[in-house]
Amino acid sequence: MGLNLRSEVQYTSDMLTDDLNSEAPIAAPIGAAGPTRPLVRDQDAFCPFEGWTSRQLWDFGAFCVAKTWGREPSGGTGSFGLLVGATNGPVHLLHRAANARAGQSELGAIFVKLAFRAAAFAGLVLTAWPSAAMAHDFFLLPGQFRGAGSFEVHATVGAAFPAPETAIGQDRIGELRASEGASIAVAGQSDQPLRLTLTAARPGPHVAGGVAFSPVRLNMKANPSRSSWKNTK
Amino acid sequence: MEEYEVSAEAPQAVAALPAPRVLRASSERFAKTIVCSETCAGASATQAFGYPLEFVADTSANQFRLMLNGRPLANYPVAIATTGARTSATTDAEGRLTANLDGEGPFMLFAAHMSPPAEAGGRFAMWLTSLTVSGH
Repeated sequence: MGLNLRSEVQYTSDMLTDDLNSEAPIAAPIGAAGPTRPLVRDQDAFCPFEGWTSRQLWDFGAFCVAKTWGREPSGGTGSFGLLVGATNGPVHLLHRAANARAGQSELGAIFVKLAFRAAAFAGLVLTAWPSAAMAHDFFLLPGQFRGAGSFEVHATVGAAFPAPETAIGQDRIGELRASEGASIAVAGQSDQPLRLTLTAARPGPHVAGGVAFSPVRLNMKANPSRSSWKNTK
Repeated sequence: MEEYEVSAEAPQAVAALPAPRVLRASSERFAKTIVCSETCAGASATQAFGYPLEFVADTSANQFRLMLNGRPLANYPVAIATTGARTSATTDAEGRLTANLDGEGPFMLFAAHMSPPAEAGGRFAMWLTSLTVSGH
């Protein structure tokens, strides 16, 4: 069974930046499904890992959410997930605040700039740590490896194999493939994995099925202040 | 690239990018698994799908081959993951990997490959592949 997923490029942590304060739109977060969509700072965060999603958190800006354990209210902007790596939003908002206050109070501007730098440092720590600690793998996991005729197979992403962590949307499937003598189809979507059904037409081993996505194209600009790459479109 | 072990050429090529460094890349992931219906006897598990990067079961038990564009990828780092553990291994000169699959499993073989662009300003190609199999 094969799986081919549109995915992200992992970032490196020793690069430079020259556009932290740029107003230029950035492309979709890595791992986002579908065509690249334009995002604007203060509305979305750059999330460097597969499955992480950007969430606007009230007026504090955008955060990356690594894992959600609840459903968001329809049309709401809150997130019930685990927040990791405050990125573009808060940093940029603080920087804007610093600029705005510079004309009013030099002391206040210094204070806010310090706060800005602290926030940037916090973002650095939060976003850099997971990159060295985890690998997010795409894998297929049958409910049972030995059986007869029909097999349920989960397609998922996870950093702690074999635990599923990130749901894969059906829209990210580009191809299913089965070896000769078997067939495979999408059975449905659950909270975590995408469920596939492999049907063997004859006894024997089967390397059956796969999911394929078109290659995603990314332009990543290095950003040393947050140890990250930013998608630059 | 911190997360995935790739050949040394790729990080060196990234480091050599002119400042400000912009990494232009295309990325694809592949995953496979092997199941047995009624019996595990047969050769169909050795079929390659033709993915740019993939593991293929070898004819010998516990042996697999890592293929890059249809050719064995020799002396290349791979990861072997099972519940709660992840170890590193290296393919041999013929791209073969002998994995210790004793235990309940499941086991996952994983490899990543990143190719520098053929010409300046081109895109890196990053492929990641996994194969999930049962234990013995």
